Amino acid sequence: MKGVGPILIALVAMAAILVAEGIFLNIFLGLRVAKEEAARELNVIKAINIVEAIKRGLPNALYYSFSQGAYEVLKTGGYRSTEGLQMIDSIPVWKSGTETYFPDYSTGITSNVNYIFDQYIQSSREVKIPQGEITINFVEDKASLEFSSSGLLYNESATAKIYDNPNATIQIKTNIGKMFNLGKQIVDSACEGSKSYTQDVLSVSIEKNNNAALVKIEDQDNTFPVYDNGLSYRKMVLQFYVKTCGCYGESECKSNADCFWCSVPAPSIHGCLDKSEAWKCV
Amino acid sequence: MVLKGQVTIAIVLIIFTVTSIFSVVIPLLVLKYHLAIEVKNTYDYNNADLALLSLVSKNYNETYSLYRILSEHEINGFDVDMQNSLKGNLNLLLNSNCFKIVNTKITLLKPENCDPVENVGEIPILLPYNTEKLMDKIILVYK
Repeated sequence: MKGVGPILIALVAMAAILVAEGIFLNIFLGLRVAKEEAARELNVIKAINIVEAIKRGLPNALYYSFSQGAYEVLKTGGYRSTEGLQMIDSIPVWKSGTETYFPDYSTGITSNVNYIFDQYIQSSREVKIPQGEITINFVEDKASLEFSSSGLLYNESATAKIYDNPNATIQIKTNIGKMFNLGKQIVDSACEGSKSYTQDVLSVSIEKNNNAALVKIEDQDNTFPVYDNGLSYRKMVLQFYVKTCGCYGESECKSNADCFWCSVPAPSIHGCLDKSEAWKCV
Repeated sequence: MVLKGQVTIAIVLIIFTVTSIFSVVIPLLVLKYHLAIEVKNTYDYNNADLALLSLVSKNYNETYSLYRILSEHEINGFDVDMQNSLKGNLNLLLNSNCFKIVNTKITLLKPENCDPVENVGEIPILLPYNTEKLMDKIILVYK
């Protein structure tokens, strides 16, 4: 027994050391695994949340792109590019003499909205938004916008790749379709003399400027966040020139001076008739 | 001599028993508390993110969503009604009255008589068109 004691103690000590080592290893590895798992889990969930936030923001980006894109196009008479157009003070002329130039406003607005939305795509660095196409349908007092892409929205972090469908559709309350219809009506009836053009939610102003009529049609019903020398809520205003003879607006022409363009020497086919008749073009 | 030998064996047995117990209990205790802390941190962090995602999905009225209230705060006045709507929704989502919302420039929603520092979450938010930047971050801090 005397010789067994120290051996037993040594064996126990050895076992204790091994156990202690096991404990330390266990703790060390456990800590490391738990931390890595938590970090990985955190990154994956964070990546999912960011993709989800961008996805929920896309309809708003569509709305903001439409607000800015439509505002800019309406400001330039329904044209996205005014190159080669007859202009007065940087505003296109819709009618000059007997020639009428009516814009394809739907194409102009769609093109500009796509251009602005592309800037939102470029600004999103963490989450890649795929290139796609926005189509716009103007129906009554609404515009329906649809963004469709064959690619996927994705966030490629170090630990996970998160993908989602970027397609989005929104409806926006706007009277743009009505505004262009009224504009066309004004142009078509430019030679019909006195006429009231005011339509429920639209207001019309026609002012004489540079021997032509500057027509402004404003949507009174809706305002949009727009950047134009600063960010603010603005109403959509369609503006264009009509350079032909006629009495515009609600007031009757009392003299040649009240007729747009007629006050200057009239060309052969345009001019106001004598005041004994209704003022109109001949 | 026999008694001394028995004492030695008893001591050895006690050492063995204590060592065995410690070798089992200590790792379990460490892992239990360590994992609990890790899981709690993960849950808290992502709850702030999720609260923000839920917040921006809610409507303020027929026209505006809370997303637009936050993204257009520079031009919409960000009045008392808007702030109250945000506070009411955050109260429900966080079950807390102590929170603040900031972006990269300013504090949008200030806390009332408290200092929220414990939980932080952020999401990207798309802004109305302008020439400076089209995307910002909305950060939620709550206690």
